[in-house]
Amino acid sequence: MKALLAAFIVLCGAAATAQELVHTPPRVHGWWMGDVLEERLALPEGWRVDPASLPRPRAVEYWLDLRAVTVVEGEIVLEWQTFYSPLEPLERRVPPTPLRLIGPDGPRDYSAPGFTFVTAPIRPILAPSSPDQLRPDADFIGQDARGAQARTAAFAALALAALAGLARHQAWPPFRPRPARPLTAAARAVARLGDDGLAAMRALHRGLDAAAGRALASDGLDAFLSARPELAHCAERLRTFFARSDAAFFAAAPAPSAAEIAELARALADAERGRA
Amino acid sequence: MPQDGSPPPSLADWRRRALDAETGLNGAVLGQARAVRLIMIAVFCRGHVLLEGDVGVGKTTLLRAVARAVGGPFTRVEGTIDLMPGDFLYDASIGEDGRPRVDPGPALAHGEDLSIFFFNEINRARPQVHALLLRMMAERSVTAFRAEHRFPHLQVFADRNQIERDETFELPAAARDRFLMEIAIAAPEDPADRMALAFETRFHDVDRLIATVGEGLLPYRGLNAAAEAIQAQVGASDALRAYVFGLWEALRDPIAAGLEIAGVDMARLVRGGASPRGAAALVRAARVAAWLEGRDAALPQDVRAVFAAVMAHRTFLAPVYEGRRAALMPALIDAAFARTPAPA
Repeated sequence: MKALLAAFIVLCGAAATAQELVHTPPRVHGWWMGDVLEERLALPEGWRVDPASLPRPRAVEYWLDLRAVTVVEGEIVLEWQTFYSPLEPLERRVPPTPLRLIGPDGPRDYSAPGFTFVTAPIRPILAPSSPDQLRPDADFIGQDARGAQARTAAFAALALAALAGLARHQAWPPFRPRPARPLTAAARAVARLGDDGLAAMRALHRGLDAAAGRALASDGLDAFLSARPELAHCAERLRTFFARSDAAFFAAAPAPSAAEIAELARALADAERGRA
Repeated sequence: MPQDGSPPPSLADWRRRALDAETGLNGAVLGQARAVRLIMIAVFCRGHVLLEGDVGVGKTTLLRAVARAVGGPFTRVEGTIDLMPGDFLYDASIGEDGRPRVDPGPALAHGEDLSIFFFNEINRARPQVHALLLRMMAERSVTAFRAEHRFPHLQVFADRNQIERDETFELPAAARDRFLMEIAIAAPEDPADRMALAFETRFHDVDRLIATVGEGLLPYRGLNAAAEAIQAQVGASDALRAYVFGLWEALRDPIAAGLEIAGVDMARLVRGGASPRGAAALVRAARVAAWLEGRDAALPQDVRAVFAAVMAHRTFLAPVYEGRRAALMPALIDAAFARTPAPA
């Protein structure tokens, strides 16, 4: 009795562990060119496949592609696609696939056995071909692009406006202001004034005021010249100018000739433009 | 006029004397050349001067030295909170005969010869005293012993320190306007001057120091005539008039003149002041400055040299800015200089 019970338990255990690797090839016939064939491998409980051993999808033969390899819940699915164009029904063979499985006892090499299938021509080989055998073209599906074009135009305009704003902010051309050249402007004004010495002095005073950024007088000349070293070579002439201007405007001395003032104004303008 | 009957000095002679006095004053009071020049200008404008500054920078020494250079009777009063106008005019005492006596006080003791009235710490005196002083400054006269006493040669020098505010009375605007100049005195900038003031013994004995200044270099009886002659001799051209007017307008209406000071609402900054009397004083002072420089016409730089001393204390700022006057007034004046072209 005990022996029977023991045998039963052993048989039950054997049944429990009898889960074997199940290879399910696709059906063996009835395939055409372009069909996808699924080869399935169900792994036993506790087993998994070493992902590194899975074949990569590729063209296996000139007529056979391995399209995809997926592992889902213990089942490996190999998706094959045949491009074989037979002249008559013909059996082809898909090669075995080597895999490495990892079980409770460690890794083990295994080879999925592959399978055979029968493929047939799609139509009689010798039948004549004519254009009306082709299926008609798919209908033309028109898309209205005007909205997209309008948006493109709007965003292009926006981008241009933003670029213009940036250029203005950064003072890029054409927004770069012309360099202020008050002394050059003053030299032109002096030249326009003709031979009125007092008016010429006044115009040069205004130019010097603008260049200094404040009303410039003889007592501010040194600070002005140290801030504008390019005018330093005119220092003595400027001192003389201020002294004569003081005398002419405030002490009723005769004004120097406009030509002298114009010459000093030109020298200052040249220095301002970096030509001196 | 000189009492010895010698002919009155010419303007050139006066100028030489003024420059001599200036040299003497600069020898006695180190590092205050600008203040000395301004005081010299005030002497020849016959204008009253208020010195303002820190304690111990030499305000009193400077004024005593000037008083010695000008010569003439000199009265000094210390401002205190219990000083009353009567203390100026009357000196009450008990006579040898045991009877109460009332003699002329410090203001009257020298009669009409009084040349310099030196009021120390003027902001410690009460408004009643300020009122009396106002009349003395404006009209050069007081009423005492039921008679009017005139002081034709009087020049008032006052000083005040800005350290204490307790028990002081701010000068009323009218009194400040009567001072030709308010001159800020600070310790000398030059480190060598400061070291000399600290270490050289000749600066320690003030009496001996003041004695080095020539006495009576500027005879006080002739100063009024000299001042008039200077004003008549030194010209002010139309361009200078326009310049002074421009500066005056800029101080009265900074917005219209386009003045700007960072962080200040220019529309509210100036509350008043810059009176016509102030502008007249400015022109007088500029003429004297030109004369001291040896010119016979006042130039814009002469106006600028005296502008701050003459105009700053007559310009009243809004209360919110009054506390920052020491920083704002120079900024306002500099902005006015920067915005007022010469010649216009």
